Amino acid sequence: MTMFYLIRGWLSRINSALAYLGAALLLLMCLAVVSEIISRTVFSVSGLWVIETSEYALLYITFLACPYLLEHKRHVMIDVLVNGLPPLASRWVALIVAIGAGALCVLVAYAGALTSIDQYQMGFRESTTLAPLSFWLTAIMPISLGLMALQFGLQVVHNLQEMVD
Amino acid sequence: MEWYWLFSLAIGSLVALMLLGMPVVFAFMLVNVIGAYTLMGGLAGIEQLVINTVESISSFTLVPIALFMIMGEAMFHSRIAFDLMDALDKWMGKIRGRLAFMAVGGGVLFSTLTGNSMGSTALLGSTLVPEMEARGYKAPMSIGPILGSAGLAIMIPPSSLAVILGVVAEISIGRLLMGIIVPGLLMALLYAVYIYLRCLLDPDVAPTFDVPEVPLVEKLDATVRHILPLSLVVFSVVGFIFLGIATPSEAAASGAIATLLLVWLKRRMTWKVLKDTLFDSANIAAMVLVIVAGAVTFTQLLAYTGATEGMVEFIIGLQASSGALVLLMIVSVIILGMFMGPLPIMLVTLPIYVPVVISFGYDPIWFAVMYLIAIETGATSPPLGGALFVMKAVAPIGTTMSDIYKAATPFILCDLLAIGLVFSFPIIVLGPVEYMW
Repeated sequence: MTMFYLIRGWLSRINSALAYLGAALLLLMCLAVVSEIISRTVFSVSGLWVIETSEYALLYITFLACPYLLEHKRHVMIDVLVNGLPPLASRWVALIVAIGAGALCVLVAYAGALTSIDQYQMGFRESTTLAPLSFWLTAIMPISLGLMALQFGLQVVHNLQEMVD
Repeated sequence: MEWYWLFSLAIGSLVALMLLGMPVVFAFMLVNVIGAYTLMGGLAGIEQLVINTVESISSFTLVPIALFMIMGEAMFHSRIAFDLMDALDKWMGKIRGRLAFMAVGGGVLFSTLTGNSMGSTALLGSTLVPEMEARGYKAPMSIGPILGSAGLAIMIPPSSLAVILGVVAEISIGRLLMGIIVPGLLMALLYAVYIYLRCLLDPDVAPTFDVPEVPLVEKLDATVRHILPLSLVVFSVVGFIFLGIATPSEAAASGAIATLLLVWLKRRMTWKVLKDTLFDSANIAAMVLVIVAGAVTFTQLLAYTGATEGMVEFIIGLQASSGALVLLMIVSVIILGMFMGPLPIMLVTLPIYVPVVISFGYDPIWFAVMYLIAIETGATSPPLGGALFVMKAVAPIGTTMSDIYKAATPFILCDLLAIGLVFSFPIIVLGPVEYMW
């Protein structure tokens, strides 16, 4: 189990670091939008980059925080039925859900990685004012889902361990 | 395949996955992936799904969800919210039901700062319940007013749920934020009237107690220090939208910065307060946004299969008046709220309900306001309304769920009355909206 705790520790550190990065982006986005209001109202100058970069920041904030949320079981869920089940049945359901959701994350991360690689190789750009390379936006999704797949993997091992004990 | 089979399959599997305890975001994702794989050409469909998801989150209209969170979190972590209660306390004289009225006043004040009713419930509960218990207040006048008033957080801007509703239903967020103000205040008034009448008819539920006389200077001082500065925050959101200085997304940023500025001016801005505020805000926002992205994609999938159109045509074709159908939709939201959280309900029902309402020729803002009140009502309704369990966590030891259910009931009736008033008099919603810049 040493390897399990080692991986869990490292994954937890990565998740936290990404979540803090998301929090920093949130502050930067907030400051950028306020600077746009001031600039437009006071100096009649509008920065076209603000809306677009805020949109990208929102995307990054979301996917940067997702693995941390999963680790700390903070994703919204309806646990009414599961809580009403006997302990063993509840563990089985949790195990099946973790396996299913983990497999789903692997699949979507794979599709996201393929999309990002395609976009990188073809040099696709967004059809917007700043026209960034599309893979910069898409790539955060497979990274986040990959981390969540690992997280679900750890949950499966943990659940199995609990059931064996 | 006929639309109703596709519709039942999509909604049925979504609800089943959620009930199995799969996090809502993954339930949406699984249904979306299966739909995209089968209907949109295998792996290429899933790749398209990835692109759609990225596009649906990178939207400027979703920015307020993240930024409104900063306001509430900053108020909580800096303890400014608790100062508000102290200031309010000074103004309340020796009246029967004093603490219950404080719950309503606090609920209104908190709702101008936070868009999250669960946070308000926890905050009002933890600050007021211990004193209510010590003063001999019974559950109907302690738990009830807190449950009702905390829900005002979604009815007075900034309201995160109103923004989500605007995004999912594709209606103007600025108009919606303006439209909820008067109904929100109307609900507070109904709660206050109920508290007054209940204390009059049944004085034992809220015994009077001696309150030290507070000099006027001290009251004014507390107001100037703790309540008046909040007008800066309120103006930087509602005022900016109303005057056309900023869009709702931009106003959310000005509100967030105004709140952080207020915390700094009050000398409460520490590294820990800033760090905790931003970290919690980003996490809560991510939690909501990732579900919204899943739901938007799910909506696109339903529309792609023709299920949405089929359902809308089916409802329109029913032999019932349009008003009755609108009320039926509102009732269904309340019933769902007894078992599910606000977010999943909104994301499943709005894509169907709003096109129907528009096809009837009603203003979607009017419907959206009743919908939000219904969401609030559902959250405080037995047996499983989410707010009831937050209340249980902060209620005095020994309080049973049955006590909480009974205490919540009169306030649920006030909510239903508010829905009835808005339904009968749409001007309550549409009046202020017409005066927007």
